[in-house]
Amino acid sequence: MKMEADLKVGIKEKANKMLGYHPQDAKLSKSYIAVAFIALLVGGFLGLLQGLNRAGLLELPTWFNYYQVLTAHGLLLILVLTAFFTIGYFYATLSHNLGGLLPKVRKLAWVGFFVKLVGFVLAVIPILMNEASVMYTFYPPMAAHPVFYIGLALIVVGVWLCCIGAFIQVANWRKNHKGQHVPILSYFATGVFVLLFFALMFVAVEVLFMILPWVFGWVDGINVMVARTLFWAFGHTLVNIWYLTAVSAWYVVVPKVIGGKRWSDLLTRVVIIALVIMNITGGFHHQIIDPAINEIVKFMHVFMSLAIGFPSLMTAFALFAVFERTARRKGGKGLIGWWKKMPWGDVRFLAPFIAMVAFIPAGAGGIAQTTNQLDQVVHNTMWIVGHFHLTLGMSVVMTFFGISYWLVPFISNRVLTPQINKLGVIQTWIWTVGMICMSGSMHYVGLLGSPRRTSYSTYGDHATALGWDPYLTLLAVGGTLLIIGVILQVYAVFNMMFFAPKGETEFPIAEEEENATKTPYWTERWGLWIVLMIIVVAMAYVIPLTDMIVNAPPGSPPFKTW
Amino acid sequence: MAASKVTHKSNKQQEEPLKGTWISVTVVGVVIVATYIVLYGLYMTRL
Repeated sequence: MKMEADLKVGIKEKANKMLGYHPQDAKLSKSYIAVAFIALLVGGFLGLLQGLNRAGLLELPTWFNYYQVLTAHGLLLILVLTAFFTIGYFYATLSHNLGGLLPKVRKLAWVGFFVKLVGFVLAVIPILMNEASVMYTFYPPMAAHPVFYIGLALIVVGVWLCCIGAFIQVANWRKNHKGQHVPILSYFATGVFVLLFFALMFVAVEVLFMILPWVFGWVDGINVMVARTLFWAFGHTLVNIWYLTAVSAWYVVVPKVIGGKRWSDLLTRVVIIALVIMNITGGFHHQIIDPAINEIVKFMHVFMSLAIGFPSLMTAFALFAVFERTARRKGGKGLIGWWKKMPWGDVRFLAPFIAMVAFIPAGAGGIAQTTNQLDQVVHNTMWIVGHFHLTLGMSVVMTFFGISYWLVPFISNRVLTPQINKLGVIQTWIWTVGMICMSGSMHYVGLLGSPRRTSYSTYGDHATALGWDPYLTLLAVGGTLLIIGVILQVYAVFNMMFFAPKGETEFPIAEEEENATKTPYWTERWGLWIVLMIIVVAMAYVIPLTDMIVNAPPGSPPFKTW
Repeated sequence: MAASKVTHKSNKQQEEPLKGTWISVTVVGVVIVATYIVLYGLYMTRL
């Protein structure tokens, strides 16, 4: 009897090893993913409250006002959802690709998990007490309660621990596999963790050395321009970290799901390298209207921001080519008739596919906003909020949803049932329609002048402001559809995590074409890419930051505007 | 001769048409340019 049980355990372990499934690592990823989707649920409800308020349909109580809701919504979805999902997904990847996590790496990730959770709780308490309505960008001179910033600092430390864990894991694999390429998804993970590690340095300096001494009253004033610049060196990179995470699934997972092969391995790695080297320097395009930055610096940053467009266009070509090639091999005919051969009923394809399509207008909007004059048309209007929801809410989050339909069953040792797949397809369409209504109306009403980060107001029944109302109502309709999408998605994730039938699910990684050209080994020179990244960052930031510090105006005292 | 035919066929198989890809990428380019032109037009009219 015991022998039979031992045999069963042995077979199970062997099967898990074949699938690249490691139970302890799966538990870690499951915890990260669970937190991410709980954040989606709470943040989604807060988003609905905001949408209804902006449409003039709901008045929020004074003890939980629009700006508290806005800050919490941003923090939950921009920091918690994305950070926890990205780490959960890439740690599952590292475990699967690189033969299981090292015990010390797993421990680092767990410590990081709890440090982030504590940090998050500390950040939320002052928000609930109406002591931190500074929004997720926390621009000085608005000042929150010090505990809010201590919470943020802990979140940074928690993410850093996970970055260090990932570096140890990849370095260990490289040491034991000399001359081999890091598997492609782990290569993406390396790029993402390198970017996270360096981008967080900027915000850590801002919070630890500027904001905390200022809010504790140890210094009288803060250099607002330096703080904003440090924030956007981080914030801009964070946006592209989400993008790179989504792109990893587009390049590697989606081709497998549709029964195809990966496009050029070399091109994929070059795209990752380009995004790592050029990413951080785009930060100034978020400050393109700010005074105190001279035009030459702005020109340089516009160029650097637009440079990121090239790897994105390479990605567009590569993905369309994968779709067309796969569909034609399945018998697809005609110029566009081959689209019929795509697996539209498979949520693992549908969700990321719509995410990719959404990136076309999202990317186009981003390119336009990078130009000084064009940004003046939309700066600080609802257009920016629409752009953000199109990029993060559709391109990134819908890809995360698509990933969840195979990742959650994989790490839970369960299967994706046809019922949940169908639910996922319905959820995807609800989300798409909701986001088109909401983001579309945000873009349009922004062009009409409706400001962002402002609760509902008719500005004394001014005709212009009253003209925004129909679009704001459409925004609320979109928000209502989105909350239905949130509920369905969270239900699907927890169903797959705890209630779906037991079974083995594949971690889908597409193979290269049989006749693919061998990728040269220089792509593995991460030391060189990091040095190049630091040189580019230095080119972009040393002169303007020196100028801002040397020619600094008197520092600003803290303000509480709410 | 037969070997050459086989090689020719396999080269043809490798060169699968990507016309749809180029059309799709063109659409991406058109969306980018159109967004740029619309915002530039608004900027000029609001000067």
